[in-house]
Amino acid sequence: MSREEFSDVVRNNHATLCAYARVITGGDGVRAKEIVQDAFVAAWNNIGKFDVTRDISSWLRGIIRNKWREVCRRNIREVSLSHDKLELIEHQLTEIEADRPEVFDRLAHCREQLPETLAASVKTYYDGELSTQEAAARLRINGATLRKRLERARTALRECLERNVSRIH
Amino acid sequence: MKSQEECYQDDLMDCLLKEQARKDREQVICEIEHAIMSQTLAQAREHPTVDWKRLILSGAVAAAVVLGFGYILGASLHPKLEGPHTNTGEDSEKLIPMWVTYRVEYVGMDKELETKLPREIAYKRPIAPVLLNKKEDRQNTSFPEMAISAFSPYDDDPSRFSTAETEQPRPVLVTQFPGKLVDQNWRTPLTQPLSSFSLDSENASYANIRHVICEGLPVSENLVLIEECINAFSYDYPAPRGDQDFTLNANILTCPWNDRHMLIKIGIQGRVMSASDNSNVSSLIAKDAAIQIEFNPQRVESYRLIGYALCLSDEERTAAGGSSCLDIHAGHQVTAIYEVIPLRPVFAAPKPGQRLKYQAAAPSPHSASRVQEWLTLKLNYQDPENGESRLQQAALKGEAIMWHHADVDSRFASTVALFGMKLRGMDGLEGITWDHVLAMAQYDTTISPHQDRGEFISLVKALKSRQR
Repeated sequence: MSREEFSDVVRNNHATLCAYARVITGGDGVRAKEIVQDAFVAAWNNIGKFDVTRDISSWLRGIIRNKWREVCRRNIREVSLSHDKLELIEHQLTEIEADRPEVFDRLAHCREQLPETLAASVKTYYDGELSTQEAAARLRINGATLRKRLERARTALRECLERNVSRIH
Repeated sequence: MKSQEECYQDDLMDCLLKEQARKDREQVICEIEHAIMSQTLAQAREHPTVDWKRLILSGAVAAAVVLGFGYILGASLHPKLEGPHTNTGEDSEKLIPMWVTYRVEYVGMDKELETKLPREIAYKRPIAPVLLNKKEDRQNTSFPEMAISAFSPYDDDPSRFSTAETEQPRPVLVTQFPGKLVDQNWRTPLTQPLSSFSLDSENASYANIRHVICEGLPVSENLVLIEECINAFSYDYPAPRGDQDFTLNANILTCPWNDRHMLIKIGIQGRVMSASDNSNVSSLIAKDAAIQIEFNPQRVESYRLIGYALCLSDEERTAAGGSSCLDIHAGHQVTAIYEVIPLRPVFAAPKPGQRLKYQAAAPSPHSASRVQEWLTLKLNYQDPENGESRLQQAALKGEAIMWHHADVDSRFASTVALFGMKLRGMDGLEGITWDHVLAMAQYDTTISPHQDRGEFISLVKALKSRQR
């Protein structure tokens, strides 16, 4: 694989891999980004060992899992997920095709179909990168109401993504 | 109770949404980069280049550019930055590669997204002396939601620069500001009683001026934002007490560069967090804060705000909605200075629909007291917790204090203002030399505990030595 081709792989998969890394690191965005960076470097250094018949995003997720296990071994305070739990996350990922870069376009489309109150909550909290308290204040609702709306929104978005997958499982 | 599988599903969606927001933000930044690259290069090709001897730069310090993964795998992932625009081709022999900070202005951008986008972006750019501030140029940008302007801080005269190559290259960080800056005009309260200024208190301009002076380079007037010079220093305002979120401070003193004028220094101080405060507690004390000053035409003939030079005309700025609102955190402080020509003008009727304190249509029982007032400050903001609108206001009365008898902070702030005004070549300073500025700056050296003010004096000395 050439450098330019790998550059395309990085560009196409960076966001989905960051999302995956966030899940397995317990939501730490900064840590997730660092691990994804390390994984890309490791992948490039070992690109000659990659089996081109495999799905590269799956291979990269494997590197990410290994990188996180390394972090957990070095730091006993970090909790690594068990093999069964990682398998479960992997299954959920592929169920909604969150391993493909097109997931964000589909997610944007699903967001457009949300009811207004849920859409506003998602926009304020996620796009504004606000805390629950700040977002609730901006929406003039209490924190518990916002959390509930966000949970309902995430469920609705997931169901929408499941309905719009392109491949057969 | 949710099952573990449901929890992971929820976590996954949460992470996807967060990544989507981050991705959208980075996409905008990439678009900004593209616009800068295409605009600057196009302008460089249109204008004749100057045969300068190249200043050697190191590849070291730069402001952060949020491009995510690009840095790990090298510049090849981002050929826009390190490609033929910068180091190859005939352009590079005549253009100077420099780190340039661009100020970004967003127009029509989604407000939620805009708060997360950078206001300044630094790039290593080949620079030619081009000026992009024409309104038609702003409208023809490749990214329709944004206007980017860039120009060199240096004039077309290459003889003003040192042509000696340094053995150890040092990075040169120059801040560019969009377009040519136009100082605030004199205004009369009869026709323009209301004034405002941004509550932002950045100080990048002063840092760049300091750097340029220390490097022995000329200070371009467009590098100078006087309000950022004034706010590069802290001043001792009283802290708010009780239910107060702010203290509004104003004092009037004689103008050291014009016997007929006066200076009004305005300071706004937010609540100051103690060292024992929990760092996790939000320090936000006000949202969408904006200041407005109404001048009394019975005491003020004309006034001008020192600094806050505009790229747009006053009419355009008014049509665009006036000064922007700002979220303010504890400890925030901003200082502004007005130069005032005092007078007792003829009383005039207000315009229809205009609600003014000093120009009521009917005689007011409070008019006698109001005649003594120079101005009224009004600070509007929203409580960050419940969104309730709040207003703090204060009126300035009394006579001007002689400059030499004013408080230390007022003397120093006015000296910094004069420093900036001279660098910008503003009018009204005939006969004022750097000797005068130095004398003002040194007036309080024996009692000033502020080390940064001592450094300011060094800069003035350097400028004074140049005028010889």
